[in-house]
Amino acid sequence: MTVVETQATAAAAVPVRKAPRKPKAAPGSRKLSPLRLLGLIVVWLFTAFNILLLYWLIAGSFKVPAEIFREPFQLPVILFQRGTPFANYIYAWNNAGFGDAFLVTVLLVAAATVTIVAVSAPAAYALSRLGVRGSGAMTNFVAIGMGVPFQTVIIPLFVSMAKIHLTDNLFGLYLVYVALSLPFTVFLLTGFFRSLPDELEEAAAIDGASPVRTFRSVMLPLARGGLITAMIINAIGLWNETLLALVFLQTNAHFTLARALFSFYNAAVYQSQYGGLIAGVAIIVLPMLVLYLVLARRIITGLTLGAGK
Amino acid sequence: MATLAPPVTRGTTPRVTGASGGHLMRKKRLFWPFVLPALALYVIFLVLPTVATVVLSFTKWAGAGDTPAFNGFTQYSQMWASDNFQSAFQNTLLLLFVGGIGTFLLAFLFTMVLRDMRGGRLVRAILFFPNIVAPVAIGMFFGLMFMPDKRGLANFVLDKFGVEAVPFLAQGSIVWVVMGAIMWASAGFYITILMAAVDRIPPYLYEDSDMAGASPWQKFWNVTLPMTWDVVGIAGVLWTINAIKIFELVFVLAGSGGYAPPPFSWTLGIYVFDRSVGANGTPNFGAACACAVMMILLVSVLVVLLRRLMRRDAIQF
Amino acid sequence: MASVSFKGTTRFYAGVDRPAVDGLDLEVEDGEFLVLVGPSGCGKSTTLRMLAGLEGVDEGAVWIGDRDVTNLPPKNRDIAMVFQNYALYPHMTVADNIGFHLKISKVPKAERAKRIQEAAELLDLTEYLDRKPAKLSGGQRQRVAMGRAIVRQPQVFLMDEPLSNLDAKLRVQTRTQIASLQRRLGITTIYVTHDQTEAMTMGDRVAVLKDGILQQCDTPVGLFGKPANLFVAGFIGSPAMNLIPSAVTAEGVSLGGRTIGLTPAQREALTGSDVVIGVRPEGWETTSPENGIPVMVEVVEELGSDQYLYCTAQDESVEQVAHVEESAEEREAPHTITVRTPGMAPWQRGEKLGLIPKPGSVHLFDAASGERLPD
Repeated sequence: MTVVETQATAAAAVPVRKAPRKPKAAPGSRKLSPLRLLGLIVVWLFTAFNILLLYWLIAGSFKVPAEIFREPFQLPVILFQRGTPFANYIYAWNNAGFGDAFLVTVLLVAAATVTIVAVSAPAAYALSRLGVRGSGAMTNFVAIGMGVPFQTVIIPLFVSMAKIHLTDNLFGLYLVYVALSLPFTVFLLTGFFRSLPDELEEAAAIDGASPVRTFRSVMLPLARGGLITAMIINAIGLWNETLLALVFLQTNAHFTLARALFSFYNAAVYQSQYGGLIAGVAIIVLPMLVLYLVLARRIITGLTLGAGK
Repeated sequence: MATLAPPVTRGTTPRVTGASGGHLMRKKRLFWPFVLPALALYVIFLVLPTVATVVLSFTKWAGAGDTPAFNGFTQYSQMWASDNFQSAFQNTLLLLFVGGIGTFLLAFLFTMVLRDMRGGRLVRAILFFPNIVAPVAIGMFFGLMFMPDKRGLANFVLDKFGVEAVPFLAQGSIVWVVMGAIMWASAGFYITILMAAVDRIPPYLYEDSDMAGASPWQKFWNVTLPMTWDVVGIAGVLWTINAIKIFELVFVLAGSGGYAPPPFSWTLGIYVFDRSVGANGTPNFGAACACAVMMILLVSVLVVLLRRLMRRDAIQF
Repeated sequence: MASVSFKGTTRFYAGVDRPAVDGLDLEVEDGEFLVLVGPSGCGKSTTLRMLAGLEGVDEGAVWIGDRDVTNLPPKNRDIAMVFQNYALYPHMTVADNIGFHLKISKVPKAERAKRIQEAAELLDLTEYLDRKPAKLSGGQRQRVAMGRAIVRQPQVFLMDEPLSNLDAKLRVQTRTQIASLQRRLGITTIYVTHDQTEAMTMGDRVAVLKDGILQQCDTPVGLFGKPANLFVAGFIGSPAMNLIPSAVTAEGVSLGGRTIGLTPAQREALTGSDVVIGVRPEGWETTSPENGIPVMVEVVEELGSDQYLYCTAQDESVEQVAHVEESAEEREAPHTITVRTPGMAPWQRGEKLGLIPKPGSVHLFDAASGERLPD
């Protein structure tokens, strides 16, 4: 017989009390000051607006123009009655070139994203962990690139790339995407590598692993979270990128989604193809929304990480 | 793969003091092979073109088959005299400062509420959502929403309340529509950055202010703001960088896709685009480069100023 | 100055059925130093936070003086609190930290400066008034936190483990300082700690909590001399009391061959057929193995002034009871009997000796209920 058992039997004799569904809040904490009330109202308005917008977008992509403008908040009816609920999507996909653009964008973004991380990771590792003199200055030199607006480089880039036929060429745009995404990615990854512990690297060195091997089989796996975050953030940025696509692509067959939407906007307004236009917007937005629903936590921390450091 | 420093050469490697010296040397040899690809791409695609742009801004160059000819500061003086540039410059400054102050006030207001709000995580995720939407799509949505007749959502709602349709996208009001759109689209990002910093503030500081009887405003002024000051500074730098290059959102909102928007709605980004590859008028590469240089100058000056203004002793907690 | 009373105070946490604090009834007199002590998770901090107004009260009430403060926000309760981590504002100087509450309650500047100066003098902080907390030592930070509480001139001080972040030596110094300061100011103080030594040395009275339920509230002497139940017996005192189970026979209870008689009142109070005999380490008399409970010395701990012998019983029936606060691994190990002898005694590991409880040092507990049997 031990004390513990004694206590247990004693406790069992007392009938178990049920906790209240919601314990009382600290006194005074639920009191609304004017400022807090204002904040709450704005927060809820903001949130409601975002949800409404998403609803408007998805509902609108199943509506005919008359419904879009006269019944913006109602559920779509007419296309469903006609038995062609996906008419807008079919129009955007086939007639407005979003089908081809979707394929182009997926391939371009995938290739560019993988290349960006493949080039940035070794650089970030070397800059943050090899202890070479001048690494700090060089990291800053690369990081400054984040502050350069792309408008600054488009003329010299366009002119010189035109000379070697890399304009209106997806490989040319791929190169530009990779190069211009480097500053942010290198900066983000140096932060990740810097935060890794020294011990594992030292242990690998003592075990006789070569530096390249240490990087590949110890550091890269450790930084995997950071690499994936970098990929996701670059993927979102490039998926939505418009300015460079606008400058470097001229032929419809090469268009990315953002570029295609840009051109289609004009035509859609002219032909009153608003249903197709909203479906086009949905084709750009929904894949990102799905990605966000799955990876919200990672995307939010990743996108704001650079700022926290 | 492991042959970058073959064992044969180990004996001839000059020894650095310390047991790991040899290894350190071998490690340091990785530096250039690892850094060079990224550095080369960076220099070729970003640094050199930036330098070229600065040089070209001192030339007269239409970009239509002619060659650049040096003409000193002529581009700059012509540009400053042009109405289009002036309104672009004004609009950019307006978005930068008024939009910036508005966005940060909004973000601060939100930090007061979101810190201890039930369901705060979900609300934060919803607020962040516009950041993953293409700016083109956002511009388009606001363009449709503020269409001048009552096909636009805003005028549709106003009409329900019996208010006359407002020409939202006309000169004078369009800047405010753009400002609203940009604040809406970016607030979530800055709220998230600030909230991440607010979440790191130890809760007992707020408990102590509760015991002192501090109001939400006093808690913000005495605890939240001083404790997140560094992050506010970084967020300010990010806002400056992002606000100066605003382009497609305004372009689409104010125009309609293929056509450039009316000059009174321009930003510096649109000015550069219009003078280089825009559909309006003939290209003028020299002017575009001069404006691009203005953008870089603006970013640099403002970022340096902001860092100066926000500097203070680091606090530890 | 005011008294504090908890009247059936109960606190639940969301999603947990068992209350964190369960029907606490406790009266703290005006000017008294009361210590709340117990293992982690016993509800002592929750009790303090309910008094502070940082937690809601689900059932019952909290009174300060003649006011029911249950639904009053913290600032209207006329209390001051010292937090475990001191809750100093890193961006404010020592003076600003001490004066923060006065500033919020709009005390005029001159008055504020005077009160800050007084508090600083009292706590020996005058020369640090312009420094930031990061530039202070742990002890100085602790004093700033105290200063911030004193400067409010409250009716009640609340202290939540204010010494747990100091090193051992400083903790001993500071606990005397706090206790003497409290006696000088005469302000009612509720002090939370998990350290029973701190509780016994500082409090006028000590309240022992476990699983949200008040076990006993008494003066240190009362608590040590007459623990109300097995938990308090094992928790108060270091090294802990030896607790040895034994069956009740017609003559009484037997301990290593000796019989301890039971009074009629004790027999009356028994709920089962077993008791637990408690003897503190200093309650043993040592003798030859034939005369007392035969034990063998396993470890000798020499402290100079005292010596502790950790012994194993040679008789299976005198196996120690598992102590309540021990972890699972400790429970696995064989339980030893602790004996305190004068320092520098010539005991050696492996030596055999006999133990006899000194007269008046035997505590009897009902094994089934854990309650102390009447003396």
